[in-house]
Amino acid sequence: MVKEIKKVDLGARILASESEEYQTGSWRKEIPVVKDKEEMNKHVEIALYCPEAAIVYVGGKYSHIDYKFCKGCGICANYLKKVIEMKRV
Amino acid sequence: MRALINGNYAVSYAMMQINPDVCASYPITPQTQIIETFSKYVADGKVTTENILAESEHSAMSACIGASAAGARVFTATASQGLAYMIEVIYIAAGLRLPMTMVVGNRGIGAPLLLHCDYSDSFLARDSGWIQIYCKDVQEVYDTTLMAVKITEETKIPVMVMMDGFYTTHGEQVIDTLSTKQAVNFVGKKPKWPNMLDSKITFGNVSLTDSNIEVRERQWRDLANSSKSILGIQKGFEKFSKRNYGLYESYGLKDANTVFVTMGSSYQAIELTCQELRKKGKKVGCLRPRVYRPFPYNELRAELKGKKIIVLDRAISHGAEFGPMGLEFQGMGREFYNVVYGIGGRDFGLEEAKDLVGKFLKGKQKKFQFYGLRKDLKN
Amino acid sequence: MDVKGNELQKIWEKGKEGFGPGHRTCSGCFIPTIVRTVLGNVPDDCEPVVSIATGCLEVTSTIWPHTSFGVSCIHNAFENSASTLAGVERAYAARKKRGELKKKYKFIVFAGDGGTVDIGLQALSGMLERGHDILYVLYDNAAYSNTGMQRSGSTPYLASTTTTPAGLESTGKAQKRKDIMSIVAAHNIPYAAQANPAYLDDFIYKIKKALSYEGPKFLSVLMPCNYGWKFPSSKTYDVARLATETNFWPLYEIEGGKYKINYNPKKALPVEEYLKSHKLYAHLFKPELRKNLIAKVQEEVDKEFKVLGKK
Repeated sequence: MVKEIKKVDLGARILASESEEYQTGSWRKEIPVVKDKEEMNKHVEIALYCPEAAIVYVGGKYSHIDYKFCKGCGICANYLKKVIEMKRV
Repeated sequence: MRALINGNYAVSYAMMQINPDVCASYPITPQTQIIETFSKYVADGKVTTENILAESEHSAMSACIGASAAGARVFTATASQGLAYMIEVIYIAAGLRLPMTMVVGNRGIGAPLLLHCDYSDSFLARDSGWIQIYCKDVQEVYDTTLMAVKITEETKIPVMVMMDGFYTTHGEQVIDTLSTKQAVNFVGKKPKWPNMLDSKITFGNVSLTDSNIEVRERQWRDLANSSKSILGIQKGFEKFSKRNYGLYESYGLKDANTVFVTMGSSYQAIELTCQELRKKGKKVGCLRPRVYRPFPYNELRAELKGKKIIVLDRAISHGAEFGPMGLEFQGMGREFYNVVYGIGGRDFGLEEAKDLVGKFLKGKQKKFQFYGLRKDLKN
Repeated sequence: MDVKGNELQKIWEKGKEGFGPGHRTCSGCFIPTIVRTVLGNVPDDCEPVVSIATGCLEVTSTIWPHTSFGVSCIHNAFENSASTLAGVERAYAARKKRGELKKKYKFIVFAGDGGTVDIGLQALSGMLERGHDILYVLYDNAAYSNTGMQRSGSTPYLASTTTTPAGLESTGKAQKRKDIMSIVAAHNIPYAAQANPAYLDDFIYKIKKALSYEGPKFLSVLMPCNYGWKFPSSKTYDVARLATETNFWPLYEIEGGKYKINYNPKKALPVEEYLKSHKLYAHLFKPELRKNLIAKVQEEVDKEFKVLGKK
């Protein structure tokens, strides 16, 4: 039995508002853990360095990491050593 | 308004009347006059079209795709090597379902390099998904250019309008043009289609094995059903012009037992020959497909049932049993013959038509032959 | 960082809206960083409209039914990203003239070195010559990464790619890389610059400056590819830093035909440090240290940096 009928548009074009989410969190073998939140607040640029935009800042201050998308690449932990640590999953 | 005009100017004039948003083009014989005259219209302020003079045909068609994806009414023109160069993007334009009009001045594709008419260029795009319409004379080119704009915007399938290189592109004929007001009223206001400037949309994305065939089937189905729209729009044009067009044109089919099938300007020579022979009591008829894609196979099969058909091909399909048109028609009629003629612009006028028709009426001919090869040239 | 936290947050938010997560780029790829930083610096009153070439960015971010792009994006074919957007830009001009549009837009192309320097050179050149109001961002990962790291015109001298592998008879690519910046500068465009995402202040400054000009603009951005160059995914930032600290990838801009070097390291590191950092040049170190070849690379880097200073 067909559960859900999806629609593919002409030429497979996709409206941004109709894009289906694709979670890449299952890719990771290591997970970043933030050790020093105060230090994170001084380096907002790390949000741009994360390829998945998974390091979330709110009001200029570090908020959390979006583990739905984090691929565990380790760029953040390498940029801010001692502040973020990569732990084996 | 009556005008003495050639095919190139007719296209340019029609486009000037409707003042499209964008024109992206690259010059190539025999279509250079289209873009030259159109550029003069732009320079004189007779149109407010954005004229992109691209650095190649590939880029010209790419710019057309970009412009249509941004919601603009767009047209271009090309021929021969140019069409072959842009073939990659021609497939993409049809796949993306973007409205656009392209006029092709049929010229054969080299090698050896040639400047004159045969249909090897537009036949290259047969499978691409474009609507293809072949015109026999300048009047039809003018009319079809206007109709094409309406067809493409209604069906969301790009349209290719063909005219014979040099015979129709450069040959001047007296035609009836619509007034600019009539042309604008007929073509109508540009409808809204999903585009990049009015919404946030991704075009041209990847469609893998999970969805590709569904998208293609829809494209195939829509092209097959587009003949309904084409007929409707042509009927609408009749109200403005008093000229009617169908998916094909024929003469004397009803009681003919021998039918000659051809396309483009050579149809006029065949038709004149058939008319003369009719006066002498010979039951001959002729037919030309006008809309080649989507091919009206049901209608043509019915029309040609039980008749001896001779299909004239102005192109070669190397390695196949027949020419490209021959391959489409081979299942039809009671007896089938295929003749390749006029390649590389070898003239096929009234004399040649009479000679060929005479040959087929007189005696048995080979199933497939080349017509008009020089006897004094060894090859 | 000179750019302050609040502004960086704004850039990140705007960039994330334009290019969100869910793309299948390799773990540790800086392409999303580059795209997000560029989109995040588009002025508030303009909407970005993007054209992308076939390559890493396109095939990972726009797979039906997902698109990472929150802005309008068109992919046409490999070589025509520039000419496609030229059509979009002229369509905007035409529709605006006829009163159909009220919004303002910024037109941006993202293409890899394959789709720019080799197959895309014709389209790029035509677009630059016609003077369209387009920002062209080239992310240079020194090869055709998407299809598995074959050499491109932008692959540097002696790099070992899959089509110029180091072997018993070969030491990698025998030709120097194409100087795309000189080619672009020859078109007399208002602004062109070479940038590095690991130097974020400079990168943001260059994006803002480019977007402030009308006409064609060009940014050549280094993109260390951890999959193709073979280094750990966490080291992308380090490799990018080394490229500029060794003067291998100098940061400079060409504004109105005038050259200006933006970063002149007081003590440039030896280029060997950069060559050691990834496996494109592994054959220069193992099984034996090829001192003469490394010296050749150093000589070329020094010469080019000197010539750049004099321009």
